[in-house]
Amino acid sequence: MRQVLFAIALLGPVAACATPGTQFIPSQKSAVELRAMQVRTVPAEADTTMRGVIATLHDLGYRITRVESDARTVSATRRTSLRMAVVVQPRGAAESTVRANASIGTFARQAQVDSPEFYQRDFFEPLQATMNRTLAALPMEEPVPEAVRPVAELNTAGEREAAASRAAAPMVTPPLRTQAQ
Amino acid sequence: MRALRRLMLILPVTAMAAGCQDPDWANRTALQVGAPRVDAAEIRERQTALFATASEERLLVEATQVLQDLGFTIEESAPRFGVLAGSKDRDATEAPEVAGQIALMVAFAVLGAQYNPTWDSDQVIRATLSTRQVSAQEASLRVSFERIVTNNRGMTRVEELTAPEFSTGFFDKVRAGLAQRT
Repeated sequence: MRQVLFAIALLGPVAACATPGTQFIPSQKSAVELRAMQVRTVPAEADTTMRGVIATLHDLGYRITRVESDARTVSATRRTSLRMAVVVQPRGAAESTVRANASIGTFARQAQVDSPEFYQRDFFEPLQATMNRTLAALPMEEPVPEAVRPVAELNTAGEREAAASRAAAPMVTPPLRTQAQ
Repeated sequence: MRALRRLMLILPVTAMAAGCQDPDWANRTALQVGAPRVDAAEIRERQTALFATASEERLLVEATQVLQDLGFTIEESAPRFGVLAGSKDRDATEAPEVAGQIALMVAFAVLGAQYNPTWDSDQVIRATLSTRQVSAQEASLRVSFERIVTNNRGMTRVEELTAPEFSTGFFDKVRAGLAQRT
């Protein structure tokens, strides 16, 4: 009950600023800063890492919302406010690169999370523990996977209606799941 | 319990006022909502079972069947990574709760005050499953259930259904299905 109360209280600030239609608030931090907090290398091949990512998200209490197997991308939702998208790419034969990207808010308004502590403490450390491998920062000269925006989960009649009307309307912004930050 | 419910309605309102003024609300909220669970290991243990099957894929097929039998719609399936997710919608309206809220509204009106009745209106139950081939003869299955309840004012709350009976009941059905098809 305390958790429920807490989650509702936290959602208040987001709802207060909500405007009609989905609004995404990107981070104001530089690409270099975002890359440093969102990207790690894992000494395991990509499919193994992808399974580790999914197990970690499940362990952390996220619901798996969408998996794109070929792109090795997973979107997940915790409570109803926190969304996380993770993309895994091969880095040689026995290594992989992981990029996590989180946003938080309501269905109508999502803000990108740009706290290094969040990514480290609330995702990469648990991932490291689950996989029993040591994660490392990606060298600056290497190309980095593009951040993927998490897919929205539809949980209320209002959200379904909003999604349906958005799907029916002409596309004026790139779709949520494919647009990189 | 009633005081806690009242608090649940008041807190978001006060937090709303602060929300527009705090530029770091997203990170602060994410750190709170996204923190690792202290009882993660116990929950994992309750939600995981081993199955005597040489095929993780077969386990996923059986789990899909059981989910569908339970009325879930499969929303995501990624056999390559052993993932399955489904949901089912249910009306959450309970007549006594609605009657109680209406009675309160009438009582407040008699006293000259206004009261906005609130009751649960609908719910979505979500299931997330992940499988793993543990050995040549065994595969593990983890299942978690959550209930997302929306009230008549459009506010939602999430309840994690982590009691053992939710997962053990599911595992029993999967075991029975696997045995039937052996």
